[in-house]
Amino acid sequence: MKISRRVFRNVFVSFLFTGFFASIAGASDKENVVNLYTSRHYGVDHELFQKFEKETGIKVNEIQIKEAAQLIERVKSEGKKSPADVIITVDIGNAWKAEQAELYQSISTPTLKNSVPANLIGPDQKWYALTLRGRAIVYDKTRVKENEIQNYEDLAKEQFKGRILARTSNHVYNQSLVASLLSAHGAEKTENWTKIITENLARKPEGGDIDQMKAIAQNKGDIAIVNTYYYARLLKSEDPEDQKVVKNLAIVFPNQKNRGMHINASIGGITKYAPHKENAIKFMEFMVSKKAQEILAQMNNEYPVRNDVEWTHVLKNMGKPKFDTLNLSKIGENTPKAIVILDKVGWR
Amino acid sequence: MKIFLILFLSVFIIPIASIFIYLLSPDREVWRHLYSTVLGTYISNTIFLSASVCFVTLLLGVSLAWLISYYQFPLKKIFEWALLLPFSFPAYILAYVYYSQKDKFIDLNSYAAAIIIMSLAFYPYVYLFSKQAFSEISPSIIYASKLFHNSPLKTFWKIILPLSQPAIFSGTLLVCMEVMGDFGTVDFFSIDTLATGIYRTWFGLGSMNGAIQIVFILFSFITSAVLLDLYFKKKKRFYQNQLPYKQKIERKLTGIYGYLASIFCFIPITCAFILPVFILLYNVYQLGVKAFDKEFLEISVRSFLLSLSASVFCILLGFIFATIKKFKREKSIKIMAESISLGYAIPGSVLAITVLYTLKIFDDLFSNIYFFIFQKEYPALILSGTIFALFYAYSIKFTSVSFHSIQSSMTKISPSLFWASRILGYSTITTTFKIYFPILKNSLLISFILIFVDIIKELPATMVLRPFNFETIAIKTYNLASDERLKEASPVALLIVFLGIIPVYILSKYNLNTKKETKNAD
Repeated sequence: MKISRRVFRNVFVSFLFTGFFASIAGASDKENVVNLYTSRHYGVDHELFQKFEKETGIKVNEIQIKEAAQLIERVKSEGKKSPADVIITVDIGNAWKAEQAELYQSISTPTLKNSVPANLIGPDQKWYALTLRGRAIVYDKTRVKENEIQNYEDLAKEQFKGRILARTSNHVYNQSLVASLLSAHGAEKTENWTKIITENLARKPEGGDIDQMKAIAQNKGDIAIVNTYYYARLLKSEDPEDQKVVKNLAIVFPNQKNRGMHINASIGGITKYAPHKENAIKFMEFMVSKKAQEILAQMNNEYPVRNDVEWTHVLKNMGKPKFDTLNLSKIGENTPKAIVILDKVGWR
Repeated sequence: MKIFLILFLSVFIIPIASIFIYLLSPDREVWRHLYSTVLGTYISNTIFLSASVCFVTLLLGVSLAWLISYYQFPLKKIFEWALLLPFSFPAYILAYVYYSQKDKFIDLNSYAAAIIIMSLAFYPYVYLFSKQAFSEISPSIIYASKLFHNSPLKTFWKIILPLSQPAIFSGTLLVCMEVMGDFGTVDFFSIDTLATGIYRTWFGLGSMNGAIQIVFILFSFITSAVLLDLYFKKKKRFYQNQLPYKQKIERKLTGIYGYLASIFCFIPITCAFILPVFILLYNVYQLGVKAFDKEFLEISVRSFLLSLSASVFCILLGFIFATIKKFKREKSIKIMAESISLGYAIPGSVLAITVLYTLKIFDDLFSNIYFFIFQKEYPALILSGTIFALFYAYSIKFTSVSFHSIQSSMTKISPSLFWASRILGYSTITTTFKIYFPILKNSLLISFILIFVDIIKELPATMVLRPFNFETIAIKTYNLASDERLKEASPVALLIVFLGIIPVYILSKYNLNTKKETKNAD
């Protein structure tokens, strides 16, 4: 008993001290590291970071904070001494918020410029899109005709009353979608659309995107608004249950004949006071490199930002969508207005 | 001494108090919008949900504790600690697990589903607190009641329940706070409560001030509950001069009644533990060995050590706070000590931000001192982004748990014990350690379980404040589950549950030990 107590105490004390000294040691900026604050939470990212470390010898230190607002507060509170070098946010709205908080610095290198299309680069080269995913519509092939839905706007048709499935509007994907409609149509029309969609819902929103597709399979509704990579994941899955869900589903990329499908992007930018700026640039260049983009598409079913990357089999099979890229940075600005509308019409 | 005490307490009160600063610049526009649209729904849903869950957990927890404390029936020894097992299940994981198997159950509306899930996840609070309170009631009182030919039910209503009311109320208060603070479960069932409202207002509408205004509605609810708690405790102050002794007075339930009691205990354990564990295990089986890698091991050891050390720290603080409150006469100090209770009511996500900015103050202070001595700028942050930031946040949030549990046991200790020790010439501190610590052992242990499990499950504050490359099992589970990869999340979710069992096991073993000791003493 005495020995175990001593062992326990030693472990405890060393645990505390390691934490303390690690934090002090971490302070020295001579180390060959890049410090990343990210909102992404995918396993594929870790594999990429390991690859980056192997290639360059630069270690990626990561803190993942899912909600961008909190991530931004952390960087803000740390001020000039913040160890953060690179910030990655999911969703354009959040990059806009970081930009508003003046967390980024302008970075322009030939590699970055040549890799990322101009409409996916932020104002003053403060941020660069790293991957894309679309907000698509899926439907049951047996219950919905092929050309019945072509645009987001079509979901407000009378014939879809009680047939649409969507997750709650607490989720940023739905908020951004409404924000993109605000850019396209203005407040009045968007409110009207949102109101009818809410009335057209088959049930009170619950669960995630995949749950909506499962609900179609269970005949609880016919149409669902989902992100492309969830659909792709089900398509690729070897689980027989997933295959049963996806068997009768078809996907529509909305608004192909006009502004294009609404997209969410993961966005990276280098911080204003980055202590390892050189490494941060190397990291960003690596993330948009052909190799990294291929891996992201392969493993997470996201669309690459580069035009010269071959798409994976699943993404190719789904078809090549046209993306809505016109008002990329407008979306962040519009999100609060979108929520005001969503609250008003009662989309839970 | 007084100044030192105030400084010490301030360290933990500042992050709580700093929330009030946001009230100075209210976001009127957002407030108007909320008021005219969703605020009413937020409030009514929150009240409805927490009242329902409190009611169900109260019924379930107290009746289970009563059965276990005063009756004998088949498998009771196992149920006694197995009833605590659901503690280790975070409510949102329970929700995910059941939702994934939704097609196998009847289609409930989302309110009913949320109430059931939360009651299953939170009833152990009431059970634990009630059981603890029952065990502290001296059997002589119950014998006395028997002598008056009171039926067991009457004894329960007239004697046991009033005597243990403060503790039961404390347990229910924790349930109430858990429900009000829960985001994962209600978000999943899309029930708009004040907690989801805080998220939506802050992250969506982009108004932190608006969000904190909502936090204050939460606060006012919880403060009124805490005040009610205080009122109860003040009104019902009984001292039991005789120290509780462990001679059990259990009636044997025979025949069908015994089996009914067993079934009654078995139902919550099955629904809140066995069945979900089975589902998770099945998922793990489908995944195969690839579920357990080096990272898995690393994360589990880290989470375990973190929760262990931080919960010990919180208990120590809770003890100190409770002692301060009991022995210091100054009203201001008493109020300061009491206000640590509010920490538990602050949503972790908001607490994280106030902790960030409080750490910044300390960091700046350190940096200035460093500059003063060495005449050069210290290059980095010393506290922000370290394990200490996590300890600090946990201590603000969870000290309340140990504080309340220790306090409710302390109220039962007669002051004469303290004065006897003092008259014999021992100092306050020695008295505390020699007399109070041993008597409070049970409360301390219970707080340890509660806090340990809470920290294992804690998500938002850990996520925001953690150091680099510091993943915990709660974060890992949440990330996978929120990416709708429930299957992949199963091994880690199971691990949370498994780690939660350890303190439950320790408690049951400790209880058995004391029983053995008393047997020998007899």
